[in-house]
Amino acid sequence: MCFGGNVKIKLMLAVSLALAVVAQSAVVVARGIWLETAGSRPDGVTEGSVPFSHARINPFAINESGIGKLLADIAIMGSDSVEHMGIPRVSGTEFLTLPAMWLDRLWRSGVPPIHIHASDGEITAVGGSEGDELEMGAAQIAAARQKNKSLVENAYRLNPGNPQALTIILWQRFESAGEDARVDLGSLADYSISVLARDEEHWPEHTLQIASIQIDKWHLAGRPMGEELDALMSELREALDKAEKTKRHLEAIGRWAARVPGAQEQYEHLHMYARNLLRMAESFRSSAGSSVAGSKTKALGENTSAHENE
Amino acid sequence: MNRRGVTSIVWAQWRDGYGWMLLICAYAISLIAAPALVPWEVAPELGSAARAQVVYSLTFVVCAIVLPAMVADIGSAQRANNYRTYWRAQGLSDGEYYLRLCGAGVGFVGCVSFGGTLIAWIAGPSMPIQAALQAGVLSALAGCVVIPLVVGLSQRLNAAATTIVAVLMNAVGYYLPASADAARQMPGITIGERLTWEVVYLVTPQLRIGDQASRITFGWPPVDVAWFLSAAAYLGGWVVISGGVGYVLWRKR
Repeated sequence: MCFGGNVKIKLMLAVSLALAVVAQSAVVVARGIWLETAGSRPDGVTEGSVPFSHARINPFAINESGIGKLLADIAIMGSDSVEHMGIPRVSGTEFLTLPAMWLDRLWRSGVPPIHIHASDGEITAVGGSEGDELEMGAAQIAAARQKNKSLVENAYRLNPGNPQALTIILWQRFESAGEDARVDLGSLADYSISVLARDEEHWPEHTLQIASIQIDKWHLAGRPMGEELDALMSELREALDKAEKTKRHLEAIGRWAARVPGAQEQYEHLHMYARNLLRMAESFRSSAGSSVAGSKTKALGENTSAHENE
Repeated sequence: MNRRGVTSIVWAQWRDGYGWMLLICAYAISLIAAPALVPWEVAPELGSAARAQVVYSLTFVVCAIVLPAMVADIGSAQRANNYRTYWRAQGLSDGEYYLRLCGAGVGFVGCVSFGGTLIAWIAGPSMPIQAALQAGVLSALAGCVVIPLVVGLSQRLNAAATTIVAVLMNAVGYYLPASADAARQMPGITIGERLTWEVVYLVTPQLRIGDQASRITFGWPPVDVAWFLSAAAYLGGWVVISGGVGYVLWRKR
């Protein structure tokens, strides 16, 4: 018996174990409180300007950890599902074998063959090859929107560096908020940038995500055309250079090809997005025609909106 | 004692154990507390959608976790008390004894699935009766797949281990097909890898067909009859396969 014999030793072991557990819990709780209060905020961000202003006790301290990031990704997937009213995305890749094709059709037969967005707020959506109609009550639409909001906010709490969570929150709040709220949204974006910048030197797509957030900030600020646009353009140029340099470094040390599936595609997508916007802004600057300013600005806005809605 | 004695005793044990009171309390609390999860004071109509979702989620959890645990315990009790010798002396064949035990478990799943769907249909947003019936049938069939396997496995393992295997099998059936589908669509995947994931997709029991949470919450229309029958036959096929495997485990003890 490994613990047989002396009762006092067993008691001491039990007490030490209990003390260790209590001390560990205290550290974790303290860290959790610290994470969600002033300590975790970037410099200059005042009380009440970030969305979750009150102190929250987080005994598990999973925010920004690996588990927190995983849960945030799952919450974003859930939010996407709720946004589409539970209708799963149609698979883009054909199956190779006949039984798998049949099984896929069997699975799809249970879901309405249409594409619908809860944020559109429409009661009835008609679509699909068979012209099926899906009646949606106002309660279902409202429930989906509410659930979507809570999932996205949870995802943001778990990982403020999640660009999808940030983008959705920014645009959701921008629609409902007035002029005063734009400052808050800016500080929220700054906080995410500070989180993403922590390992920017290792992963090039983080640099591009930061650039994407800068573009969102410019849109939220009402697309100012003067020095702000010049500053945005120079930030985009710097970000593209920096990301390309980091990518070249990863390729040189053999890490680029071994990255998780989807990372390269994410890089290419973000790179193309930032480069195209920079080109549009440059052509707009070079034309310098005040008469076309409105239409060009609108085009920039549409480009960004299309990006957000994917 | 008549041959229905096995099922009657199992049902009577469950009735006298008052486990059903826990289930009724859980459903009652869900119905009362569900609106508190949504801002019903802003939009009162959110209450019914929340009720439907919470009640069906509870049904899902009970069918996927609680009932397999209960059936595993029933199976283990037969083994531990050596009831098989007793029933054999009563003239009941091994096969019939197995079927009676599976029947009791299937009955539990059917009651909970149809009961939960019925409550969600009454308390939730408006939904066609055909869609509610289809949801009940598919939920019950998906919940039944694991039951015969649990009865067989409980003759080899104790109740805890059997429950873990049953819950894992349900988790695989509900969540692996979507993962396998996503895996075969990864960019840069070779044709061999794609085929491998497709085989995984094919051989996994697709219990997710029986997960009707979205249908009930979002009030989807009923499924086309031909496809509904195909889905029921598919899940029924898996019940038969599970029954065969469970019977082998039961007989070879």
